[in-house]
Amino acid sequence: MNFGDGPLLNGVSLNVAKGECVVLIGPSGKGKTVLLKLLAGLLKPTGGSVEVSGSDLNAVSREEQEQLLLKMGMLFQKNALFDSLTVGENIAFPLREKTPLSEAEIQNKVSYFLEAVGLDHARDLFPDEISGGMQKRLGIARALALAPEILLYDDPTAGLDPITSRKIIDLVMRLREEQKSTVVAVTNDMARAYQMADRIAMVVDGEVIVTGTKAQTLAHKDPRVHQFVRGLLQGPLTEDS
Amino acid sequence: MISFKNVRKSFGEREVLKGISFDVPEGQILFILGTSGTGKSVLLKNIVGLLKPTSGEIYIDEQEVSKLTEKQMFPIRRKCGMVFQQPALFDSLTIFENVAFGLRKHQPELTETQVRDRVKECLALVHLHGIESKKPQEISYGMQKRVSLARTVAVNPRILLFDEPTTGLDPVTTNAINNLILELSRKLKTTSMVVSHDMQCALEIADHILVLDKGSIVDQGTPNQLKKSKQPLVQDFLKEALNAEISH
Repeated sequence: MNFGDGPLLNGVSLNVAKGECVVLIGPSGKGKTVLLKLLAGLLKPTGGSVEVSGSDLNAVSREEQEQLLLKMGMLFQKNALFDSLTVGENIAFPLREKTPLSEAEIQNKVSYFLEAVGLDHARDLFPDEISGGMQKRLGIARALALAPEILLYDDPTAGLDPITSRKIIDLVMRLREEQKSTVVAVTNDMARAYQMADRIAMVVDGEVIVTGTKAQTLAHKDPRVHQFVRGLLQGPLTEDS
Repeated sequence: MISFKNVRKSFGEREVLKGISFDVPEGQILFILGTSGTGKSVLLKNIVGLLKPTSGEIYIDEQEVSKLTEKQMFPIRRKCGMVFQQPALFDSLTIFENVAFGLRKHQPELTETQVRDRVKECLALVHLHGIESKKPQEISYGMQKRVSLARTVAVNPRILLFDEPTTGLDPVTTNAINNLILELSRKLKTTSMVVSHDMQCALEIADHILVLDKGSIVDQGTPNQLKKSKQPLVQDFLKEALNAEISH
């Protein structure tokens, strides 16, 4: 993957198994979100391929690509909620657009997911009338309502305190269990990475280093991984790079 | 240096600060910890008059500031340097001009040589060298945060106010910024208040920590006192700090 000079991702390979949760960590501006956007079909690789369920996302026909993308749900860093729609309507909208469900079925689904994320009391409020943590939970409910097989989370707890963050990730993991979905998430918060990951991968210097479980990550020999996960100031990673 | 006496703040029906009292002695670093939406930023904004308390008093250097007019607030604000969550640099200006901006405005008597020396000195304080002619988008996010610190201290504030300075940063940048807060506060002998979620940072550099929950102070003390706290919210924060396994 290139943007202007020098590759941002330099021939990287990463396999995510069905039902697995992989968390991407790494310094800011080094390609984590780009990797997620390649997966979501929002960016096209300069070279190489991105395969979803065995099909090359960028080589298939338009219709096939649309079918593949329907399998995926994405939660953006800033939630990207519709601010002129109520909490309930934010969930109903994509269901009307993307599924053949009847209005009654849609309303049932809205109720189910609002309850799952603890927002049933806020159904008729607008996004700007609820807290940041509630907005995050709404974004998660909206992504989940389409029952995607694959969920992509870009920093699902950005800007939230650790206690609210833990609760949100508990919810993400519970719903993943229920729907048996595959999860790829980006975070800067190591407590969250350890909480949710089956495997952790660090994106740095154009590479993807799969570091493994929490224990494997903490014991990893690569000096960049060692420095990053502990937040050490001394080491190969510098702010200026 | 800074005192809150029974400060209350309501927005409509909703009371966000429910009678807050505390003192920050000169030269100390106070951390205000709490969950999101619990009134931490509201508290900070009351100090510089961006918000006014519904009742209660706020003193800066023994002067009650909460009833001052906008114009009367000017000299008070000059004492305070505020560092926001986002670096908020002017992206069309070079790093040099970003740091010089406030200096030129507030100290027009300075010669061009004095401005240049001061900018250089402030960038050195945040360990940045040789980047004066770059634009903000040409340096990393962590460096932008440093420049915003340099810009804030350039006009010699005696009080530094930080609003979630490390939120959303990766572990290495978090530690770097945290160290800078401590270093700058001590070197410049400022009184500093830091609003934060990060218990680990607070334990590391605070002289005193206030824990805010739903608009009230639920616990406070030195880092060593808080480490032994039985208060449930404090314990939750301590547990999460341990989960991250970050060394300091």
